[in-house]
Amino acid sequence: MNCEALFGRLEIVDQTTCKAWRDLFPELIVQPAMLLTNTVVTCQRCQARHSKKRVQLPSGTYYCPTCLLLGRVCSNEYLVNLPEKNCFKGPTELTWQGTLTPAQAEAAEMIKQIFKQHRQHLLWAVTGAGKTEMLFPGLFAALKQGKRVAIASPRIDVCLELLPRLQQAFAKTEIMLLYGDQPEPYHYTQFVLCTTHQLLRFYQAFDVLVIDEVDAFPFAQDQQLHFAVGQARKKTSACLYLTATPGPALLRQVSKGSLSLSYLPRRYHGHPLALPHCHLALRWYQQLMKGQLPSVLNHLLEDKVQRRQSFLLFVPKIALLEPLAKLLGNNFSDLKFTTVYAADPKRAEKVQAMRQEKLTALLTTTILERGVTFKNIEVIVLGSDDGVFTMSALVQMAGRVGRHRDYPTGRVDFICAGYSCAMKQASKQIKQINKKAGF
Amino acid sequence: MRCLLCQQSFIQSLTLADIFYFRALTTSPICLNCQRKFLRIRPNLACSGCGRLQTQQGLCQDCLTWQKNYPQLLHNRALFSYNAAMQDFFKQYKTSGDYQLSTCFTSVLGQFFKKVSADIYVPVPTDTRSYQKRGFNPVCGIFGAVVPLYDCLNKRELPVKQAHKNRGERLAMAQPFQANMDKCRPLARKQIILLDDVYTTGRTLFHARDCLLKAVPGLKITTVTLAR
Ligand SMILES: [Zn+2]
Ligand SMILES: [Zn+2]
Ligand SMILES: [Zn+2]
Repeated sequence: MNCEALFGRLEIVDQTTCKAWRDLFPELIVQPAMLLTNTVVTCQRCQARHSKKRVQLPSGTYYCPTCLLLGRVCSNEYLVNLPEKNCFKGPTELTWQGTLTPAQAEAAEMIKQIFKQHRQHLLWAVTGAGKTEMLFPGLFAALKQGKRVAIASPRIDVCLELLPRLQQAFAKTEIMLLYGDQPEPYHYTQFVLCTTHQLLRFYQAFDVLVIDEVDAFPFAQDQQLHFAVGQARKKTSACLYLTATPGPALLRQVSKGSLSLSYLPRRYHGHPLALPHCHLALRWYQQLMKGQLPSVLNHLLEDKVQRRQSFLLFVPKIALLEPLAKLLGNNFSDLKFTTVYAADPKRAEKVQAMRQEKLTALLTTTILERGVTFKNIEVIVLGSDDGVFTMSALVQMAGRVGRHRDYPTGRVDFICAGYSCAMKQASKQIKQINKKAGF
Repeated sequence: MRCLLCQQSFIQSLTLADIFYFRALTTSPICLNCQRKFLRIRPNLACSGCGRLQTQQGLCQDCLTWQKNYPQLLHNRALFSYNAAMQDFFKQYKTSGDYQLSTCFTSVLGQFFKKVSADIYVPVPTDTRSYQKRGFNPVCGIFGAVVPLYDCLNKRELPVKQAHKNRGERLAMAQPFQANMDKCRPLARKQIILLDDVYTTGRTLFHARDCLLKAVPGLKITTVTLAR
């Protein structure tokens, strides 16, 4: 066993290995993998609690199904790690060629100070503000000082989108990407890019931790995120949350004073966010099921086709994709489109085809709302009042529009059978941000 | 409830008959969307030797090859095709060790064993090391809640994991099973079904059957696997 691989990194081992490693590394930090009470087991890696009866194996031990994807934790095992030593060699260089707008530069300087002073901060940056670039100067300074750095996002798409940009900006630094099904085994690097779930495998490892698109984390699991972040960062470390739509939990931390807050309300090209148009179509679902295209949708689509405008059409359920695709195929025979959903095996290819403008439209579920940018795109959300579309999801979907300097405006349309609370909040938040930006 | 495979919450749809006969208690812990991804093999579209899904009648190519050494084929019945969804299931169940998933097919298997039955059901065993590591026998997990299992075989520990072997190496594999003679004695003149999770090459099941036949000559043995 290479000791570097254990720096700040939790491994699950059985008793024999644990003993062998303890002889090998006197500094080894050991804790039991699970805590047992009469009826409940608590996983020490993810803090999930399960009734003993539900998670007992025939051999008698207990396991944690909650964090199974990170490797199974059993009650007869141990979680071990070595203290983070920051053993990094090799040059650090900022190989990024771009420039920052004055507003971005100001935010970048602030981020640098947050990292340096080991503060906790929430940066509320509008969709399309260019927040990745704003991290570069701060990250560069931290790397140069030999700090260990991680960027984590709840969504793998965001990580995959970030990786090439980060690699380009820090060409001399190796970046380890960690997510669920990855083929490459873990090894020790100064720079880690991972899903927030993967943070559970670290213990007091990072001097600088950035949580990108923190709002993508399901609200119900806020506690879990909080725990993972707390475990993965060093006791003295900086933590920066980035979001376009902060949820109540983060804002509560701000009002309690444990988190400072700053805004970046302006997009890098200086244009405001597109405000959604809401259309009431009471029977859109029934019509669709009967094989009719709801007339509002039909009008919107005709307009898009006429303007040769590419667009994303979001629906709340996978089951709606097929009937909708059939109708679109019949009514708009020239339209080049396809459907895509979260577990779609061809998802990456389809998104790529859309980016290369081989397709004009994508019919999709909520998965594409973040991290994915298209140059010139408009958005329709069908069934925007459905429960799956949270306020932050709606803001994010609307935020797909007008990301590029050459196409800074565009239409966002919501079609609904009634106005949901989330829709009202989303419109309100978009207006609020535009107002803050001086529009 | 929450689907064991995709973690989405779903509502079990009950028919009037389900409520009437309290059948809800045995409905699936996986959602309809996930259930649809598994491909059920109907007996009239299966190879009569190994149970694989095929379009033509009779024996498949692999079974014709087996027949040269084993005139008496296994007459395996498999419930599902070993498609991508089934591979994912086994990855999470066996490789990751998610024992909860052992209940995924309980209700389907329950229906199946109403029609296909035997006197005694013998699960294919795992060796001690794998059992220690995994904490369960995957075959017993899948079938244990459906039919009474009778343990009368042991498996020797093998140096290389079967999953890492290629087809040729697997076929050449030496007999890994040993019969527990005391436990085999009561089997005489009984109708036996051997149970395994997946029929891959058939090697494992032929070995298990050989082992039982050697212990109790003349036994009537057929086999059932969850997937082929
Ligand atoms: Zn856990
Ligand atoms: Zn499911
Ligand atoms: Zn066959």
